[in-house]
Amino acid sequence: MSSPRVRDAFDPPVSAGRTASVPMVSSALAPAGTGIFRHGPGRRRRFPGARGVPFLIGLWTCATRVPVGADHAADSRLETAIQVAEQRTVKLHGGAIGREHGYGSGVLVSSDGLIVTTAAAMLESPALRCVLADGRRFPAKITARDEEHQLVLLKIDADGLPFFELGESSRVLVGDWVVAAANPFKVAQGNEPVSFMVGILSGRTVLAARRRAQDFPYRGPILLLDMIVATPGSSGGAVVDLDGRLVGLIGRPVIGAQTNTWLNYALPVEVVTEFLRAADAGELAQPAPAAASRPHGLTPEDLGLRLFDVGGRVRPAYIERVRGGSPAALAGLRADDLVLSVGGRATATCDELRETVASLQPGSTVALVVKRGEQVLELTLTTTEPAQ
Amino acid sequence: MVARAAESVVCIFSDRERSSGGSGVIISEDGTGLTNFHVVQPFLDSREGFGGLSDGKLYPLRVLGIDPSGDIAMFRLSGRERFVAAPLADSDALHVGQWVAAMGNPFLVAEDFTPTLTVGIISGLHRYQEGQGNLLEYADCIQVSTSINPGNSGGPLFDMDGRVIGINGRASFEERGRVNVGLGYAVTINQVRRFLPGLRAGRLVEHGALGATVRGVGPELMVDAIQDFSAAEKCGLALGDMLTHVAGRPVRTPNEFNNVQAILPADWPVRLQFMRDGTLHAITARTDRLTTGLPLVYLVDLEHNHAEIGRQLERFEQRARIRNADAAAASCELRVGPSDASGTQPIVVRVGADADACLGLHSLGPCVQDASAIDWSAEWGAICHPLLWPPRIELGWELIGGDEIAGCVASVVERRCADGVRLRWKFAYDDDALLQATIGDDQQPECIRWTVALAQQSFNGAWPTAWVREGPEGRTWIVQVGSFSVADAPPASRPTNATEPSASAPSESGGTP
Repeated sequence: MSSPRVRDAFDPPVSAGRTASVPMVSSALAPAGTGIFRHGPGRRRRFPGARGVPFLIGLWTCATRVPVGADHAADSRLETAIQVAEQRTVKLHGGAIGREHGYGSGVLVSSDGLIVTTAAAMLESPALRCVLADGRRFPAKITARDEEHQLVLLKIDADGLPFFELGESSRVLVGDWVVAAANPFKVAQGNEPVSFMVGILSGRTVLAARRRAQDFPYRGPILLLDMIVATPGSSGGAVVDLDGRLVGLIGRPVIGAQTNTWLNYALPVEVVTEFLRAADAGELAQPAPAAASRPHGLTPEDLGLRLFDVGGRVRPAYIERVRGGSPAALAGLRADDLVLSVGGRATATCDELRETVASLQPGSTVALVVKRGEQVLELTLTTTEPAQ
Repeated sequence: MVARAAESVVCIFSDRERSSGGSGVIISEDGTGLTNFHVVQPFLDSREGFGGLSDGKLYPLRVLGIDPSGDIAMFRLSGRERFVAAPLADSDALHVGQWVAAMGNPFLVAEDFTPTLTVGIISGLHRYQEGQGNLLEYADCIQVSTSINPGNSGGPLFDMDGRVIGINGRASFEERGRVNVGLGYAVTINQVRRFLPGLRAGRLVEHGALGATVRGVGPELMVDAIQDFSAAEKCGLALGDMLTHVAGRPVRTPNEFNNVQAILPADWPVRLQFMRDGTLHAITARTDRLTTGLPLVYLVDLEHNHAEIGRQLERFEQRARIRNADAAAASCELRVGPSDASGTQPIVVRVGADADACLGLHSLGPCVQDASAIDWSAEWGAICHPLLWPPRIELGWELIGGDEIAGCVASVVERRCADGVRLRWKFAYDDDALLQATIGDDQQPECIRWTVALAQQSFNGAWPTAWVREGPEGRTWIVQVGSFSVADAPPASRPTNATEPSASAPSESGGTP
C-alpha cells in the first residue's frame, strides 16, 4: 500500500500528546475540572489490569498517580472484549505486488459474510481469500468500494457467522481503554487467533491526508490511539471497547510529513456505518476501481492510458493498457511502453508522468519519448478535452 | 513486586566499554541466569563478560551453556555471596489478554544498571517465528504488546506476580526500523526448563526432531512421511497414524505439531498419542539430534562441570538428609519381587566405603544377563555408593545434560568406569530428588534402569524406598529398600561433612520416613 503522507491539518503534538497521558492519572484523584478530562470528574476510570498493575505503574514513576479500581471484573472485561473481537475479525490474503504485502485484516458486519476492510492493493488479487477465526477459508470478492473513505466491502459465501453490530464511537471517551484485533505481519495463520493490543483512545481529530500531487481522498474524523496499530497487515482490523463493541476500523498506514512517524489511528465506526448505508443504497461506484477525486488538469486516463501504477516506492511509468481510439492510441502508444519524457520533461515515475500530464492543455500537441523493448521511439500526441 | 523483580534483572555487557550488550535475569541465588544466545555470541571466545545489577555494580559474568537454536544462553555472575533470583512461572497457564511486564536495558540506556520497565498484554500465544536454518528459531513463543526494543534481548518477561514467564528476544521490525512496533516475542520459560540441566552443565544443547511430517486431514492430523532411521521410525510410528497428542499437548494442525516438536531438546523422551485402526495408542519416542550448523566448537568446561556434579550430590544429600561421612560400611535389606507375580525375596546388601562401586559390576557383563543372574548386591551397591560417600569427582564423571522422567526434568550425572561400565544418576532439576539410576555400557548406556516409583513416595526429603527395576531380560522387578544400618564406624577415617554436626550417633545413614 503506498503510504499517504499527512500534511498540515494533522497536528500530532497537540491532539495526541496532551491526551496520551490520561491513563497515568487517576480520574478519581485528579482535581475536578482539570480540563484534561472531557468526561467530567464523576466518571471513574477502570484499569483493566491484573491485580498488580496499578501498584506496578505506581512504582514506575512515583510522581504519577494511577487509576484505582483495578480488579478481576475489569480484567475479565478485557478478556471478554478480546474473545468477541477475535471471533469477528478475519485474516485476508491477496496478491503481494513488489513491496506491497499481500495480507490484511477485516471485520465481519453481517452473519452472511459481509466484511469491511480498508482499501489495499492486495485486495485486487483474483485469488483474494478470507480466513475466519475458526480457520475456515473462503474466496472473497469485492462488492463495493468507497474511494472517499478508503473502504472496501467484501463478501464471502458463508452463513451464521458472528458479526459486529455497528454502533457509535462517541460512547468511548478520550482516555477509555480500547482493544485492537488484527493480523499484523500475518503472524497468525489458519485458526490461530489474531493479535491483540490494548491502549486508550488518546484523542479525536480530523485527518487530511494527501498523497503527492493527488489528494488523499479521506478527509474526516479519526480516533487517535495510544497503542501501536500502524503495522503491516493491521489496517482493516477492529478497534473495540471493553464490552467488545466495534468503535473503529484501523486505518491505512499514514506517515506524518513533519515527524516521519506512523500515525496510530482508526476510522470511527460511524464512517463504516455510512459506507454500508451508501453501499446498500447503490450510491457508490461499482466494483471497477473508480477514479479518485479529480485533480486539476488532465490525467493519463483522459489520454486513454492506464499506468502500471502499483508496486514499490519507485514506480517507472510503464503503460499497462491503451484504450482504443484514445489520444494515446492515435499517438501510437502501446501496452508495456515505458514513457521516458513528455514534452521534454523526464518522467521517471508514474507520479512524475501524472504531474506532467496534468500541466498539459487540452488540444495541444506534445512530443513523447518512449522505450519499447530495446528501441527508443519518439511519438507525437495530441490531447483532447477530457470526457465528462 | 517491581522492586524485587528489578534486583534479579541483569544488564549484560560484552566488555567494560559496554560496546554491546543486552539483558538477562538471575534464576538461582548462586548467580545463575538466563539470557539470549545472540546476546552472549559476541564474547563466546572468552566466555567472559560483565553483568550490571540494580545495585549499580558491575559483576564478572561467565557464559555456561548455550542453546543456539532456541536463542538461549545461561551465565553465572560472581562476586557476591547470594544474588536475588526471580521465580519461574508455568508458561502453559498463560492466556491472551493477560498483563505482562518486560524488564531490561533497551538501547543500553541504563547508566546505573537499573532496568527499564515496560508493560503490555499477551497479544498471542503459540506463535512461530522462523529462524535462520536451525538457529534462533522461536517456536511456540509468546507475542506481547509490551515494548521490546534492541537491548531488551535476553531480559525477562514477568507476569504481574513477578515470576518469569519468558525470555524476551525478538520483535517484528519489518519496514519500520529497528524499534518496537508493538509485536515482541519471548521464548516461553517452559521451553527453557527442559534445557536447564544441559545449560547448567555448560554444554551446547541441541534441539530434537521426530523425523516425521504430518498433514491436516479435515480436523485431524495424519502422519504422511517418516524418515528412515528417524526417532519416529524407531518408536514404531506408521504412515497413516492420526496423531492426537505430542508430549501431552493436543495437536490439531501441522503448525501445532511443529511448535511442540521444535521446543524439545535432542535425545528427549516424547509421548505420542495417536489413533490407529480405531484405537488409541501411546508410545514414547526419543528425539533425534538437530545440529545447529554453527561453525563453533563448544567444549565443555570440565572444571565447572565437575563442580556442578559436586553441588548436585551435595544438594541431594541435604535433601535426603543423609549423614554419610562417618560410616565405613552400610548394609540394607532389599525386598525384591517380580511385578507380574506375588511374593518377594529378601536380599541383604552390604556396601563398603572403600570399595569402588564399579568393581562389583565386573562380573555382570552388562546387558547380557538372564533373570536369575541378577546381582542385586552389585547393582544396588553401585547405585548408592556415591550417594552415601561423596566420591572424588575426576575424569570419567560428567554432567551430561537432561532427561525427563515421569514429567520431571532431570539432571543426568554420568560416571564412566575404566572397564566401560556406565552409571547414570538422574536428579530432579527443581528439587534434587533422585528419580532414576541406570547401569549400562557404551553400546547401551541405559541397559538396566532403576526408577524411583514416584507414586509410592512421599517426597519430603528422604532416600527413596520404592523402586522399579527394568533390565534387558524384559522383566520388571519391584524393589523395596529398607533402612541402611551401619556396620562399623571408625571415627575420623572419612572426611567429615562440614555442614552437618557429627556429634549424634551415626545409627542410620539414610533414614526412611
